[in-house]
Amino acid sequence: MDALTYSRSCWGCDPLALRLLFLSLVFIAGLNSAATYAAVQGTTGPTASGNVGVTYVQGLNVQINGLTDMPLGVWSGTGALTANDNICIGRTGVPLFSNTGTYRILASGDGVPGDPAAFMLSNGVRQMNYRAFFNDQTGTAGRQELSAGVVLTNQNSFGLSYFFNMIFTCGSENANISIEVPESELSGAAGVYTGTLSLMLIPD
Amino acid sequence: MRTKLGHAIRQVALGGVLAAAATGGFAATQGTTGFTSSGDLDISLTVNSEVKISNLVDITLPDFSGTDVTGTSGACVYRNGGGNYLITATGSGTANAFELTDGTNPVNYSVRYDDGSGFAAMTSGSALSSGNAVSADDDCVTNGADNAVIEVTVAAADASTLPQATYAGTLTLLVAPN
Repeated sequence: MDALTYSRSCWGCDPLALRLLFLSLVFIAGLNSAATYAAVQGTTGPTASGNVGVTYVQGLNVQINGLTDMPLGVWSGTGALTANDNICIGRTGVPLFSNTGTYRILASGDGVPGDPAAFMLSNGVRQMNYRAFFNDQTGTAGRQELSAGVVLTNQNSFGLSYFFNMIFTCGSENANISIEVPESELSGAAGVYTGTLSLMLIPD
Repeated sequence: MRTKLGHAIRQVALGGVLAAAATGGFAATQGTTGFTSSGDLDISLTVNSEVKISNLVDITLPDFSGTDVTGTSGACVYRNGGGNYLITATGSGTANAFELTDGTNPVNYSVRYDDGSGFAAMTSGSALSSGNAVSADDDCVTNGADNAVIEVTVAAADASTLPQATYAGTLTLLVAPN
């Protein structure tokens, strides 16, 4: 075997082969680091030490709170019936003094999701529809109408409010839910009408 | 001091419980912490039965010409949700009698009511079961026409004996859900 032939068979001497070896080792190390941090056991001796891996995954968390029922009372015979309630939206992952954390609201009533009539009250025989609105601040000024089963996007609040609502469970009202039953719906048959409005809070 | 403080705390706690109870039911469901959070609130309202009689027109009876004198008024009877109702008529005579007078001489008249199913005689103060109330609106605009007729008649036998004068009275109609 001459020198030239030997040098070709010595793959450790080949720069390309060295690079491939290095990349393979890096890949294997990466696999290990993404794995489960297998605990390292101690060995017998004057002292022994072991290691345990600790993993913490901080995901987005949200909380909707402060909801109260809306008894609209007895219809007087004219006009629409309305009600509104300030509620609390909590969200993690937003600095205290910023408003960079948006969220979405998905509302549904007692009817078929996606049906405009899904916001529905019933007396067991007859149904009447109502309108629902969401506001990403307290009060009803600037509120947006909800469509049943359709996500309302780009809602926002201040980080400090989010924080208080996560820590203190509705420590800072920062949103409003409101409903309206039009007069045209109310002029139907007499009875006691009830329904449930469900709200799902989804972080962006 | 401890006793007073403890008493105050108990009062505050009791007050809180009572206030919470007064708000009614705690039926709203609050969201819990998670990647999404859902809550529910209940909505309730009461719609009472509503009725209305409208589109009534004063009845001016024609001059007596030897036969019964009859006049009518249309009426719109509304009930939310439509359906049946009771109608009660009373006159302005003695004991609510169906009666006209010139101030001195009374004359009786009869009343019939048609809810769309045919005329029925009415007795003062007695409710008459009726139906076909409109529900779309309370003035029969959507219906396009009134849905009832009130008819009053002074019998020829009574009219023929009256002195020459103007006779007037008031017929009151009360509608109630049935």
